[in-house]
Amino acid sequence: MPSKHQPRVLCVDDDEDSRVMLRTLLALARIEAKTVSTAANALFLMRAERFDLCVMEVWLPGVDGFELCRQIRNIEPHVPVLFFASAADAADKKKGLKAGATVYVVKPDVAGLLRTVMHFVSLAVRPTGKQAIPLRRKVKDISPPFINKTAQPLSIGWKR
Amino acid sequence: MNTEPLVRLSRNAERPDPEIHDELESAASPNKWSTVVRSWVVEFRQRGRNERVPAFDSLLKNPLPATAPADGNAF
Repeated sequence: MPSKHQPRVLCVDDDEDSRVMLRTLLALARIEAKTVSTAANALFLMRAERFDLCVMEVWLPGVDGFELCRQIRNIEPHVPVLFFASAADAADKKKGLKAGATVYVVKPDVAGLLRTVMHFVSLAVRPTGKQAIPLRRKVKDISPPFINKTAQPLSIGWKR
Repeated sequence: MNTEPLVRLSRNAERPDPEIHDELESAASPNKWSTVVRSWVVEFRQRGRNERVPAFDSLLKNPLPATAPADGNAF
């Protein structure tokens, strides 16, 4: 039976309680979460490691979540970005989605966050051996993984 | 009038793997939510309503610094 790789989520929140909560919540769902408190650390990790998903707060010290989202889009255009934010105004949601976020969940809707995370994680996590296809990849870019281009042409006929 | 039939494309890549989805669903059942998560929600609700008040109070207590006209042309 093929094994599955453990999904990995990067969480960016300046509030320590929120970081602990996110780690606990995702651990309960068997999701590995790395948490950082600043946009700079998040960008460093995004460049260095592989993540299936990014969850972030809007209000961050220095570079805010909107700008961080734009920069993550430049590094990893296909990784879903979820805002789990205290900013609950419609304008903030609009700004977040315009910055490239996939979903905007307002705190403290933990159930909504978990549902959304599980949805995207189940899309991203495939059994080992299968190619995980990025969510936003265009159909024309997807090549069939089962074609072995180095194989010899198949000859059909009776042996003499 | 547009008579073309509507065609909805469904990509396998965007369809969740049901096996994995079920596994995650059961793992993240609300019954298993820890006290950490519950207490965070309660605290956030209490703090969320109160944290803006001190911010406004401090803003009103500390008036904005008086700004001098940059070039002496005050309106």
